[in-house]
Amino acid sequence: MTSFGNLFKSFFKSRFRDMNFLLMINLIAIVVSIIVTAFQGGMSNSVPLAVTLGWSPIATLIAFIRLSITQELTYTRDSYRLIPISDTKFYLANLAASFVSYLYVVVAEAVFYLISAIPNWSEYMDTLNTMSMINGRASFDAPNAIMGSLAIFCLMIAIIVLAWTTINLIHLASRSASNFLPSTGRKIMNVVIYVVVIWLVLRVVGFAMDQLRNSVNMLINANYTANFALNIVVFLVVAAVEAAVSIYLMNNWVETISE
Amino acid sequence: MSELLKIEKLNYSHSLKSILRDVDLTVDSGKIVGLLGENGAGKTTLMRLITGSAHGKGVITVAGASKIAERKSHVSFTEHLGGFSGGTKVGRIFDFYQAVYPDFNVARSNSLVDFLQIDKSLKLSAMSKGMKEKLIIALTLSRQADLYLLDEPFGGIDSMSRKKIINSILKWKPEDSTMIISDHYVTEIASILDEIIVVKDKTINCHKQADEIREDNDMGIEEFYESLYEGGDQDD
Repeated sequence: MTSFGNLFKSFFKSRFRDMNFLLMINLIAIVVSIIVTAFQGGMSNSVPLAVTLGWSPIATLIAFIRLSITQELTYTRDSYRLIPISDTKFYLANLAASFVSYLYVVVAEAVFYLISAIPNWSEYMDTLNTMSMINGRASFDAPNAIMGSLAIFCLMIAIIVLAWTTINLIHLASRSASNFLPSTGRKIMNVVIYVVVIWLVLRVVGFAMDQLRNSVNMLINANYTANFALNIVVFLVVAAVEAAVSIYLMNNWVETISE
Repeated sequence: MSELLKIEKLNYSHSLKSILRDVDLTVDSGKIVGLLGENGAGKTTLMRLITGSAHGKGVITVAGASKIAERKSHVSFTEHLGGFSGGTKVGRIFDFYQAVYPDFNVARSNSLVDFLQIDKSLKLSAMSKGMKEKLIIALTLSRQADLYLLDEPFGGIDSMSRKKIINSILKWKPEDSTMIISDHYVTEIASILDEIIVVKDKTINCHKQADEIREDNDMGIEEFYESLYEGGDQDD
């Protein structure tokens, strides 16, 4: 039998390569944008961070989509499903490999931010101090800000995990249901699934945006931490339930694509 | 020689359509078995049920293991590499197999790569259909499994290479393992077969020793197989 560690390493290796390629493109885009801005005469100390902040959401979104596609393909292809390992370990190795790969992208983006903020560092610190004073503090409280940033980071991770377990569940449920439906029924079911997915995505995105809006306050006010912790726990519990149902479906109903 | 594969009361339906019904089958270890049947008869489905890629009702046991995950560790199946993108290099696929299959035999793999003249530096998208089939055969046989399931493995391969591979099958098959080959080139594989299994009318229509067919029926395997569709000999 294949061990969880070996499977995780194999999954991670290929996704790590994918993510490195993506980050390289991201970096090239940042450098080219800065050079173009400089040639157009618009260069200032704040440009590097502004450009990085502009490209970063696109890169992280593409990373998320790319990892989601890879993950879902893994569940339905014999190239992976023939590996002798239990469905629980398979599911967790697949999810963990995507999760660690995404984490790598997020950390790399954070490093890009820090590097691009260096030319204008003192001005950004002044801005943070001003924001803190507006909220009744003498100056910028670094430990509190780090705690706040960590909480936002944890929330983001929980949202990512929940998003993937939800996508997994919808995909595996539709694969399972297709075993019992004639081709016309499958088409109708796919339309229903698309509608449900769009509705679900809009709801989750709306909720996540609310949480992220609140999170700005956390940089300067520790009282929000408790609410955050609760939200993260709720997200992770829902993700765990979805994962359990997905593993059950894999075990009993999900078939690979016959090639 | 011991019982390697045992299938009891296997039924399988998909999209409200029955594909296989009441399949009972026992295959011993150390054999080369031809799995024959028309297109759409259910040969590939039967193999997919054995590997656990499809889920049916009934009991399938391979080398004493009936749980899907355990069964997979005894079975090496010719999967069509659909999980790898066209840009994946062949060498990377071998590395992946080596990492995830504990029974992957590196020495055997290297011999197969040499024998089948596989270029590991090529990308999947740059390979012809025949080259890809050779790669699939090499990957499948690189494992030290108890049961090999070769599903139409010679499809795109030219006749010269096909004969070369068929003639060398015995060399690559571990002595105690069993190989089930489904193929349309019945005449070409007939000489290496110990048994044949014919899937017809959604079930195992016939399971016979190759020698028995040759001696008792006084006909070749292909002739015997065709006779089943002409309303001829249908015993067993």
